[in-house]
Amino acid sequence: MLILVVDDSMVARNILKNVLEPMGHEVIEASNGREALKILEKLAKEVGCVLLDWNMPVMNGFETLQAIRSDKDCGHILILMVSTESEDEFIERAIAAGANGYLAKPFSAEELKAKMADILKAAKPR
Amino acid sequence: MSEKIILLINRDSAFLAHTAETLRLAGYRTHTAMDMRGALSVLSSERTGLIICDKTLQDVSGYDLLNFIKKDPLRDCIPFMFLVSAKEQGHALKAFEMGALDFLVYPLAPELLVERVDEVFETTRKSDPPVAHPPVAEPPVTEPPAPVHPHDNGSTDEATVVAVRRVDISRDGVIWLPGKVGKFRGSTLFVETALFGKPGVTLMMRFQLDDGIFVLNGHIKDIRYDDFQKPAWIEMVVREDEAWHRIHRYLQDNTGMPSAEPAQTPDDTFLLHPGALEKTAFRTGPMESVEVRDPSYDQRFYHSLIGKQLDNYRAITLIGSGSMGGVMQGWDVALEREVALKVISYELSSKEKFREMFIKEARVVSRLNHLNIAQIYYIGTSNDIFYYAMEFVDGKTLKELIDQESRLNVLKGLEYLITVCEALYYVHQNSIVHRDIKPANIMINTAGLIKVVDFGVAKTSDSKTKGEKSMIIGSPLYMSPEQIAGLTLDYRSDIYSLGATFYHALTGSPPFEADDYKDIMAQHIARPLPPMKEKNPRIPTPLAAIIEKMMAKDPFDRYKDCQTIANELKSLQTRILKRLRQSSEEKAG
Amino acid sequence: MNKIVLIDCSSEVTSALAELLGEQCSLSNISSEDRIVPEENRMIVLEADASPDAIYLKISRIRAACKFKDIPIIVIKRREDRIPLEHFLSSGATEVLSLDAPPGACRQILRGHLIPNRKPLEKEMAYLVPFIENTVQVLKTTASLEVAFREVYFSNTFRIFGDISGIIGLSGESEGTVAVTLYWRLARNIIARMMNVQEERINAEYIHDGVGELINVISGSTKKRFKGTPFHFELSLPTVVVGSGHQLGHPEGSSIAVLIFDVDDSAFVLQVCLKPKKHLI
Repeated sequence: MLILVVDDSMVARNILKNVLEPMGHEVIEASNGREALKILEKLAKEVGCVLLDWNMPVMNGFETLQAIRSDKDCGHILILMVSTESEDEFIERAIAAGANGYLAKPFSAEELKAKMADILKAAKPR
Repeated sequence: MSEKIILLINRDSAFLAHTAETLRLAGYRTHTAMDMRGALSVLSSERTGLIICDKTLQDVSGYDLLNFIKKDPLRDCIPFMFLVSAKEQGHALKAFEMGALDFLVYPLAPELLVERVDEVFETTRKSDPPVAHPPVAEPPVTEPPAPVHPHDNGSTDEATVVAVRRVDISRDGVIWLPGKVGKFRGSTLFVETALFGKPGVTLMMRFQLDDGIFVLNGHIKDIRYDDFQKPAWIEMVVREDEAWHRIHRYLQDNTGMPSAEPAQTPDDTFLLHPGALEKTAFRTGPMESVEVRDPSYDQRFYHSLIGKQLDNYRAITLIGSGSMGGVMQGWDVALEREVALKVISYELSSKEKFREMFIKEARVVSRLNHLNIAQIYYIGTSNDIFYYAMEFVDGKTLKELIDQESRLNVLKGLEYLITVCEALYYVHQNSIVHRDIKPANIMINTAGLIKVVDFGVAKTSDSKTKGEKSMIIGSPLYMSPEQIAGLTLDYRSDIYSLGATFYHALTGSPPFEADDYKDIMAQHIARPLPPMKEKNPRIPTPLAAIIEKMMAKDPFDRYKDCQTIANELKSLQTRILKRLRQSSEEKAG
Repeated sequence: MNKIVLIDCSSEVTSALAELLGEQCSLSNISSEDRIVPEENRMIVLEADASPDAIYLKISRIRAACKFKDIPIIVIKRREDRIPLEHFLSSGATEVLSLDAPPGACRQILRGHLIPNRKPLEKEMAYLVPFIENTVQVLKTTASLEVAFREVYFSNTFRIFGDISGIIGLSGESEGTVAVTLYWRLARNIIARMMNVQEERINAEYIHDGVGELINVISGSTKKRFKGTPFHFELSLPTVVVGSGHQLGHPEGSSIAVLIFDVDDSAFVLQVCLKPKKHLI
């Protein structure tokens, strides 16, 4: 699956990438929400999943989440929020806005894998 | 060295293989992609030095990709070259307008392609190397790459060198770090700072000029490290708003190195060696001329105690310091309560006489029990450090209140003055003289309660140490004439100081002012008191009369005790309130 | 008996110190800072006799050898030199005294620095424990590193020592600043472990970025623990600063807790300054 990883930290993106690629996924990166949306304009069909940080400059993860969810072309895209903001109200807001899952930083590789498996399983048509 | 890594994008796999081989032979590492997705994947992992792209790709057009790259702060400085087939020439002009560096048409002789590519790497090394992409196979950081001196010539020679100026730089408006502006060009500023960021990151830059503080907003266009562990030069593009216009004018007025050093030659770039920066930094604009003074020995002594414990008292933070000592917020570990810790200055505590007298008086004061007096809990020495613990008053001093509001409302001032008079009466009844009544020693806690602090400890000398000028303690603004003269003090000295304190609180300025404390002292002794009503006409005449009597030069002309003053003030207060009530009733009626 | 080590000090400075502190301290003089074992001493004294740059370098090497332990480094200046204090302090010195300073003042200042650091108050630990636990947890989870909290001391200034720091401003019900400071080698090791790559692949840019992410994750995960308390805060974007000696502003009347953590044979610090806007106690 082609996964778009959105985080302003290059290291944070690499942490995700270095877990996802060995799982067989292909990863492209964006460093803020606006950049992510630009990529999705072109590659909405190919991208299967977006991993979104919350606190980012230019355009934050929540705004990005809302923008993706309001775009018909992106209906199929799974969204996993990956953020240090881990209070319940943040999680609830993200899920209400259409996120498929929420992973709080810090996380281990196993937790990320498990979370990915969760949202992929939930998204599979029965 | 800038990496010789090329990203080659084309739909035609045979063309890709062939061209990549040509470039590889010429010494370039070449990655290939057939669509935008592949291109982005390469860009996110390879420190690409050049993109060579066809007009049409599998998924999008080459223009779309170019447009995307140019808007990407992480990658917008990577040179972008079009290489299109003769059949599909497209619009070279459009490509250049969008920021492409070159537009080549194939078929093209391999040597010619390599020549053009060489040129690109040649020029980028000299001007703007793309420094900010995720590099992969970097040498270990212990051996940082050779210093990048990208502006040795060429692109910044139009930049204006300014007198190096310190500014504050912040990413979030909360944490500010120093930086130095060295040059500007248009709305681009070149700043040296230890605050690092990537291109695209927004920053704020704060200038303190004579006419105010101006904050510029902008983003990092480029960052150049000489050494990854030292401050770097940031090229910051600022928003052209009002603040920028002011700063721009300032910078234009301060161009050039402010010294006899060799004038800026065209290649006198902002990459000055640190020593040169230091030297110029102290000689710049008017704000810089203020020399930063080292803290006093007393201050440094108090600082050495922060985070320490004296007997049962832990020192938390330094709240303030005066002529007598430093006051810290403390915590009593035995009784588990907050205290104010007063540490006596090294100079006073080293005088045996002072210590004896201080302890004797503190014993008496510690027995005082009054709502409006900050109580002394303990007096002691620990590690030869002389201190006492007293009631911690959470609130403001009268001094802070005056500074904030310039002067007190008459009714409020009257109320405070009555309270302090009654507290002082109680103290004087116990044969104690405060000796340092001043706005900073009268506190109002968060519940609005008055607390007189620093009781009975301000005495340093009577006739025995007379003549030791340095031993005069307290602010000359509120000192009684007999205190200045070094005579034996009694409670009437406190009455004078209290009068001076409320003179200040009610009029907004101290009774006597001068640049030199000796002049102030001389005025206390000889100059008639400037009438309060001249400074604040709203002060009721009887109130002014009371304070003026409190401040009579001769102690015998003052009140006989503080209770008498309190009584007079109270009857005045009743009259004022009654009149106010009447006038409001009249208005209502 | 407090052990004080003098490094390469002249006889004039040695006897001046003996006079000031003689009875309660044992003074020893060594010729080079290379042989120093900082933690064996209560105080380290240097004489500023060489060129200023050489002294700054010497100070910063000793400061680094202290592994963030709060050992006072005192610089004794010559009478005539007028170098501002700040230059020494930003290299890592605790205090700079001059031979012509009043002896009474010097004695008091040195004695002040010799007093052992106080223990934290219970109410201070109430807000420090979540930071300590989360720092340990974050490094364990993201970098598979076992980190041990060593100690805390309190400072009145917010100064950064080390090669690189990630700083984050806090606002909301509480305000303040949290900063993590590391030396370069440990920083590279941690970032490599976080990214699960070989250390050789970690360049300076990754370290700059990674330290910002580290402080972001530490403070972000701690913030949750304060939900519903006066210590709750909101995060701003992390700031990354290189080099030593920077002084940061902090809310008036707040103290700065310096938390030291050990990782194998190296260490790093987390400085926490957190002040609830509402009055607590």
